[in-house]
Amino acid sequence: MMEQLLKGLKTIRQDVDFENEKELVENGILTSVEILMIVAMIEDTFEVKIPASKLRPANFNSAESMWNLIQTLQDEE
Amino acid sequence: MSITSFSFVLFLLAVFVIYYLMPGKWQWVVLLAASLLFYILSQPAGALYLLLLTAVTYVATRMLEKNTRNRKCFLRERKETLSKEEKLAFKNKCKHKRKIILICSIALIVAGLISLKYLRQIFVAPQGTLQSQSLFSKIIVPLGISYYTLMAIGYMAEVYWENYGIERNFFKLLLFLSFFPHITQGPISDFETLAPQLCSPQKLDYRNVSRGFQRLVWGFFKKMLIADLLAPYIENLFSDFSQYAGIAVLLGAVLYMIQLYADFSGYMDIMCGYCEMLGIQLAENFKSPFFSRSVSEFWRRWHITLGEWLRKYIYYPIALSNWGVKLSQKNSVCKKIVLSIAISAVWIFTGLWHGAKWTFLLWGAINGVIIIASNWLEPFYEKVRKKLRVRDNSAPYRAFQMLRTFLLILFSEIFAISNSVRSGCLFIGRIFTEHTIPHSFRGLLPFVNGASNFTMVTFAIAIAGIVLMIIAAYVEKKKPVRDCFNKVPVGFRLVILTIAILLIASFGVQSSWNAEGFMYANF
Repeated sequence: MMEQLLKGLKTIRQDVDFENEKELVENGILTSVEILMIVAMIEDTFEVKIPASKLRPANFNSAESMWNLIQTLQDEE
Repeated sequence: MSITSFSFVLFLLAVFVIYYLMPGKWQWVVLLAASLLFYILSQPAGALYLLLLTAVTYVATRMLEKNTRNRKCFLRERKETLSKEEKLAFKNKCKHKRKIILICSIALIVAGLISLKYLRQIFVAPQGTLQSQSLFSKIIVPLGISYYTLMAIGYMAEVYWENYGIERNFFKLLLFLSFFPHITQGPISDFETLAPQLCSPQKLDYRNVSRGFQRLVWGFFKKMLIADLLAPYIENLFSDFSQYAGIAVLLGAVLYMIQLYADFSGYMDIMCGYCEMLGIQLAENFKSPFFSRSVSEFWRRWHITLGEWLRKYIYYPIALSNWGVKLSQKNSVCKKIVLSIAISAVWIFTGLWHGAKWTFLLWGAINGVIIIASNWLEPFYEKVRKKLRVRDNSAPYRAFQMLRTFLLILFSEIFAISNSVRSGCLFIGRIFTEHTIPHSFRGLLPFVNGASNFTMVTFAIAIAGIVLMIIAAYVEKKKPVRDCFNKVPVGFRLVILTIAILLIASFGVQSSWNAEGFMYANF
């Protein structure tokens, strides 16, 4: 499942090392448009709904934190 | 109280000493007392409004918390007895109540902001006329109202979304909103990040004090030896640019951007450095903005906390709203339309936030249009770049992008500083229509020569300061400047700091420009 996420992230930004980068938002690597593209990709792939209130740097700074967010949202549903 | 005054420096010193003498659990009380004292000394009339706004925020968040607690309690007790539909209906009813609480409280404080800040700007004429004798001219705009209003709205929104718990102590909430390092010009602090630091005991730490002090001195250097020395030149330029050569007007505009950056980032360095001495990390507001390769990137590096606030509470809620998601799902063009609407809302808000003037709205519109156009034209740019075989990361291409970005930002800022749209258009028009090439310093920088504080010494100091600021920015790209500075032997570091302080004290005092205010404090 994590591999699915990484594959989806790579389709949005091929030049970013999503496996190891831990400050995707804080370091300005991802733009706000790219974050919205990631949100759309996650919603399509994992059938969860990400509300605007969850768009925080802590949830998108790394692939791991995105994965944790997906699992939290799946549990809530 | 002027932040560049000797009395403010004494104030900082007194707060520092008392803070660390106080037992850990009472340190926050020292910060609160200092913040309220600072506010009352700066603008006593505004203190009442700040208290009222804090009270509204406090009551609203207590009501939201009560709603959450009651909902969870009710559902827990009736977990087995209620059907799924009944539970959902109850949750929706609670959500509706929460929405009403949030909307009413935000509407109340926004109404306060509009009444106190915008009505005065709209109805009071800039020069003394009959209008200036009206009731509106008696309105005092509370110091920092634009900043703490946004912080209060952000806090209430996060509590509404149940992203974190509330602050039950009214005075600790008051401390967060009134904290003197961020109340005048930001940064627009996030409650979850800052509040725990304000209320946690802090121990005196040599590294924090040393590094914080270095940054504080650097901030005063930028403010008083660059921004304040340039200010009279810029005032001279904008008061009568119609007699200057186009190249002189352009150079003056560039100096204005440097002045603005030195003023605003200098303030941030003073306050962030001081907070670091207290063991508190304020959010950064600048990240080498002039190295940006696009206007979008520039606004992610300049006034960073305002950009983050706008993304969290305007851009993302619009882009991810029900109608936004439905429309985006149709095709890529519809997706871009939704993003364009979100970006437009951000920039209209940003323009209005700066002030109720057409020039600010135009400034916001220019930036919004550039960013929207960039999003739509990106595929076209990429095709052209690849066809011309220009490597994306090549030095000349990066330099071209940085220069293009700087000029676009510069031309939009000219409207922000101009008294009217017409004046801004004339200023820009002068650059392109007056082609005389001056052959002397007097001709190239006539607004410098004619300024009240001009001497070759003060001008040389300002230019040397600018060169130092540019070098520091380049070093910062590879490694934090303070890390490099702290590798220098202690004795040498002390000499450098002492020279800097003596220069600041000598030329800051002697500057004939009224340096009481910071430029972004007007918002």
